[in-house]
Amino acid sequence: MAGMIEVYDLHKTLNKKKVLDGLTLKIRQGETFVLIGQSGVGKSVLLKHLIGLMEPDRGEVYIAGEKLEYAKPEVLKKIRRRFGMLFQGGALFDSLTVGENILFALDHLRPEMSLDEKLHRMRHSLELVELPGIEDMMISSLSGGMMKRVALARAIVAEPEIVLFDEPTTGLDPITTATINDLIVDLKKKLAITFVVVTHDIKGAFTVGDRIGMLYKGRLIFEGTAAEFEKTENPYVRQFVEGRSQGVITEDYKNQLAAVKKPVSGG
Amino acid sequence: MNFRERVVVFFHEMGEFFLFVLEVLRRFWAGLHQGYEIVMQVYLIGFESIPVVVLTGLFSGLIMGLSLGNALESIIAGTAQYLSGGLSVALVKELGPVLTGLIVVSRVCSSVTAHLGTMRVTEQIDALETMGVDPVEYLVVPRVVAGILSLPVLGFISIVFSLIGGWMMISGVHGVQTSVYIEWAQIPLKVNYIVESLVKMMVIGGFILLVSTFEGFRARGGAAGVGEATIRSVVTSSVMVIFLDYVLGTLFMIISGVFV
Repeated sequence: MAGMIEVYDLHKTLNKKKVLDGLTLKIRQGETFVLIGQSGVGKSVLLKHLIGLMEPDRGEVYIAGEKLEYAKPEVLKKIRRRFGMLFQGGALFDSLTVGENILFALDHLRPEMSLDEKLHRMRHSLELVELPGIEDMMISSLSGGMMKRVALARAIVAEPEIVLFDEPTTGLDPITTATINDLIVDLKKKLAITFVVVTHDIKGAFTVGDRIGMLYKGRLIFEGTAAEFEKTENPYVRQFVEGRSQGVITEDYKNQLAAVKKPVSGG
Repeated sequence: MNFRERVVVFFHEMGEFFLFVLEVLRRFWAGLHQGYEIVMQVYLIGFESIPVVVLTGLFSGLIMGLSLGNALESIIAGTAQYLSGGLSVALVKELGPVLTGLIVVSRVCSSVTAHLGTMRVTEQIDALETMGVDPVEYLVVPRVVAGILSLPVLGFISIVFSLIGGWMMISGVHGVQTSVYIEWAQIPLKVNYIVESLVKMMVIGGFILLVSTFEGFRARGGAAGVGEATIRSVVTSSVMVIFLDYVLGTLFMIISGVFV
């Protein structure tokens, strides 16, 4: 299968911390690729690079073979039309109703559509996320799970080729989490487009992912199917998958902390 | 943070603000096409500020009429009738722009920074970008334009109501006739004072909205970050209202000295 998203040697430093350190990654067309890793390892930062919200210090990103030119707003704007993005907190505009939020995306991404067509699309996308008929509700009256679904409806309404999910289940109860994961699987079957999901919910990753990649210290340290993840002896993956407090990741973290403290105690 | 670090941070922020202003200027023309947003912001920033501007204008006029009228009468009896001349010049040149600017800062700038700051920390501004909407065109330019358009109108209302307040006191307490009050209010006024006042209000209106949108855009780190951004916005804008009044006042004095 062709590479829908290709990332080569991506580097990014934020607040003097190397967040991405030569990351290389290839995501195939039509697959659901899940990125897992601890909080703060750069998963969301990578997503923001893919959609052009952040510019890398070094490295290249290609979307469907087209290079992402971060310095050219027109190229970025064109490439962004290929994407839909579900933000961690939903990022819904709270001054608008549910319907207006979704129509806002259509107004700007598909300005050529007639109002009737837009209204039809908006209602259809709410049906896809199993929330039909709530277009007149205000965002403040929605529950956490409903907000994520509305945000998902907004992300898919303009028929993107790629949907980016930034922590789609964070902050939700276990049942809502499972429902959202099922919804992602279901949507994937219906839409047959490329999904990139960032999460630290390992169970969810195995449920929705065709392939899973683990990010550690700004690099992809392992990628494979759920079965390959279960089998691997990689100590970093094992500690993360098994959710153990002791292991190589914790050791690394302690060493890092000691290295930071050393000059202070020594001087 | 020691003094050296504070100086570095200050210049860093100045640089960021300068780049932000350049970006706004670059996007200004495109932002002018956001007709609905501009009308909405003129309503929120300008129209909704009218009651508070009327009240503060009226009461400042009342208190100035009372205090200054009494002061003039105690120096030379019968001079309260000339008060309106001084009052009109002071209001048009300085007090109108400054008072209105400070009211807009307290009512509008705080809310603009809090709103945009919340949008920033909840990733709504990022969401706008992913939908192909330029946040500067959509969020900043309409607010700055609304500031430029609204402040002169609000300032005019404030000046008129201050003069009404002054008249109420001067005629009520010192028995000065209305026709005398109006006549003396006009005599010392010059056209260039009105031009100066208009320019000041437009510059102040645009600038304080630039500061408040800038602070909202760079808010980081949740509710605490938005709170800090709002404080910075209100403090900087308040200081800038008085500073700009001083700078522009001096500039106009130099210009009128050269051309008159």
